Amino acid sequence: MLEEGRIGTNEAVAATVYFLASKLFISFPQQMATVGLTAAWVIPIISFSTGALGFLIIAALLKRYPGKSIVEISEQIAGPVFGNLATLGYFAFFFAATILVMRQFSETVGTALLPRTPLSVITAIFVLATLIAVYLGGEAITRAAFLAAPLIVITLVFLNILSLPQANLDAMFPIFGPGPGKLLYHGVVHSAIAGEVMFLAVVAPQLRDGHKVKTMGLIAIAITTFFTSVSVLVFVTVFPYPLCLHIPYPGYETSTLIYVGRFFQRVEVAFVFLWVISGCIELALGAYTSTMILARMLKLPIYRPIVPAVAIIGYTLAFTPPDVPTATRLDFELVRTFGGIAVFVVPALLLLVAQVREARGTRRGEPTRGA
Amino acid sequence: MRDLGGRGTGRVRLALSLLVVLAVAACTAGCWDRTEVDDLAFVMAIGLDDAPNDMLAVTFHIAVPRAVAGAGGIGGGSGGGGGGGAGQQSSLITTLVGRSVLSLLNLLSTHVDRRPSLVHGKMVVIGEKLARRGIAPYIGELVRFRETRRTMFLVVTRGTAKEFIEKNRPVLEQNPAKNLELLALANRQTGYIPPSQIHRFLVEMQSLGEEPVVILAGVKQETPGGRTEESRTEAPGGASGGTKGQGSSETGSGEGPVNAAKMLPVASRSDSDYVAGESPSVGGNPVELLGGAVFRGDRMVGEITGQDVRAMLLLRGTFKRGIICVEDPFVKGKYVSCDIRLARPTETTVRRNKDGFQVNVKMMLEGEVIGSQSLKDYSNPKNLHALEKRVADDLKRGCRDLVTKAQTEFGADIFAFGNKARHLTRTWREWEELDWPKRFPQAQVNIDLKLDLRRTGLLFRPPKPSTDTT
Repeated sequence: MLEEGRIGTNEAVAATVYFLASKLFISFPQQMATVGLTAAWVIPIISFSTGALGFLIIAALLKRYPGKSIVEISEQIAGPVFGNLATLGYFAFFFAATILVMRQFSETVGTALLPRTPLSVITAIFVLATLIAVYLGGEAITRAAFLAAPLIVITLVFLNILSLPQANLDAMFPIFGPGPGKLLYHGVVHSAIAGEVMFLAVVAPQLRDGHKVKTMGLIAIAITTFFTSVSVLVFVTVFPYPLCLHIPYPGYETSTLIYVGRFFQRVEVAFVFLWVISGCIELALGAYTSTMILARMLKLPIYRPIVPAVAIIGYTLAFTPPDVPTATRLDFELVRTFGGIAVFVVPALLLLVAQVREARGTRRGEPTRGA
Repeated sequence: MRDLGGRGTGRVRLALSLLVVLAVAACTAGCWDRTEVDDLAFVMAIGLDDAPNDMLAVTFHIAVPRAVAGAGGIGGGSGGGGGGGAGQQSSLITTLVGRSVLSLLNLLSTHVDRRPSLVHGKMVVIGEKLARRGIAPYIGELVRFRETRRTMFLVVTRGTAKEFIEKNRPVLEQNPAKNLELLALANRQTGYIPPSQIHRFLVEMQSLGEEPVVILAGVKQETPGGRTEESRTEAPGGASGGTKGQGSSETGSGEGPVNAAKMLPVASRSDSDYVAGESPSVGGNPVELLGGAVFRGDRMVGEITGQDVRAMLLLRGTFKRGIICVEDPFVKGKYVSCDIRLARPTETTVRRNKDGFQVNVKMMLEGEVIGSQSLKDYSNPKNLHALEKRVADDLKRGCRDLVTKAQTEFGADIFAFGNKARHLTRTWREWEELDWPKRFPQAQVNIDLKLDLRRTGLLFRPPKPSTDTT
């Protein structure tokens, strides 16, 4: 059995929040505005609420099979073929999300900070940082996330407060943006923006308090919903619709607008520094989760031998989108739209199958839960 | 990896880690993006004018750091303008003509030894002719560029941007960056110019609920003959200077006081009822920022005076503070000055009824009497209330006049009433169908203004001469 360190409750929550919320620093707010218009801030609330429901299903599966990760549970319920297909779906979601986030973070750094440095070098540095973090293991990454959690919180709080002088709350109106029906539709369809919460299901066997996984996930989702919704609200009031549609790097652009008199301006450099740390932690979590899913699926006793291979493939695939708009579109229109099927619908089907089997087994008097 | 413990491995790991850190540091900060500060030429202001053959004339105002540190003069360069007094000039001003701002920025390197950089840019100045043609393409070009900051101040100048930049000769402030920033930030103290940054312009330009008003600049025309009331009234509407559009006259440093001694400018209106370039003043910096350039979309459609800008800020609810002067309600020909500020945020509501739209604006102001020429005792509440009424009536009249002007002359909602009209709709489609830009000219605007003068300055009663000489 793959055994890689132990993860505490606080660390798990902090890592999940990082995983879910770091996308705020790339194009996420702009993506919300494309579907939510003036009500863009409502989309995260609906999506994360849908994600929370999805996670309750995942938590129910984990409760049925204590000590096992979603990978083993999938195989146990659906058999080796369908189970591995489901696992490949999880892997595809995390891996695609990670490489697209890596591309977007690299592009943000390249555009805003290091315009003359080749993109390949910036991406390589991110890959290197990720590689080292993944080698150190999940325990180290989640502890780093826990230690750095105040950074992301302080960054977001300061960014939002200091941007308020530029905000116009009238830009929240019309309050329903594209209309209540469309808001609900886009919120549910893009529930995969909360898909990273499945990280807890992947590392479930490593959790010190595995029985609290449901609480951990819900707390992480609640914290993230608050921060993402408020941040998107600030974004659409600082860059009122339709201006917000033209901003590819919302966090960076918002920080450049901070102007609290002659002596407090040009503070974006401080924010960018913190964002890069957040980006590294998110990429590390993404790469670690992807690698763990693969290792568990392949039943490897240790995951480290496949880390370089995953890193090289990820680095190569990160350059597949020909430009930034394509990378952003792929992230939102592909991964965040259809990813929900892999991370929420498939577990729901698995739970259904497990329940049906259990019902049949109970009738026949056979034990059906694997432990 | 955990099983590969041991002291030797630990040292290898430490060495490898150090190597990685050094490699990363060298790659990011030490190779491609290494830039020495003294390799850069910091552009403080960009001036945009139209040029023949649909070309663009771009004037770059570049700081000369050594001269700034040594407090040299301002101005000069290929564009003319002459020296700025003793010492080295603290600004290099140069104009290039071409098709794009950024390609001209590149071309600038052909005669400026350092690499031009916009990262410390403070102001974008647009010539009036170009502003009337539409500036969205050029502002769009600038904000896409990573070095341009959306917090740069946006100014429209009467005449050309080239002239404005060349004629700007600050006397007190030798640092061009600080000079430009302080000029544009004066709105916080006076309310004679609107807050105007590129970001704000972009927001307002794209909005269906408001239209942009940017700072209006101009060069004072101090001809040896001075300005006369006749020359001023020759201009359309009686609001433009008689010498407008005739180019600049010699306004070298030191000439202002001479003119001042020969002839004082003529003033016949309220102290702030002027636009830039026409204020009744001589001497000092020949450029001034006063009033606003009104836009509809990205095209300038008119000008408003400093007094109008105050009314606009009051109606928008963004007025900070300013000194207002009114005729004493008890003594004709004597004036009282009050320092006014918003006591509470302006409340604006828009209602829709069968006759159309009704806008209700409620303003609560407070202030103090800071100067009075008459012998009236304003510590007496009855007198103070009369003064409050006079000031409030004055402000209300100014607001009403401006609303009428915006509805009839400009057809532009410069008060952002439309942003409140957004509350009437539930979806974006409904808002678009409401078509506020077409509704605004017919909207009925009700203004309710209340002023409380809470203090009477450092005097209760004015000093009274022992002998009445009148």
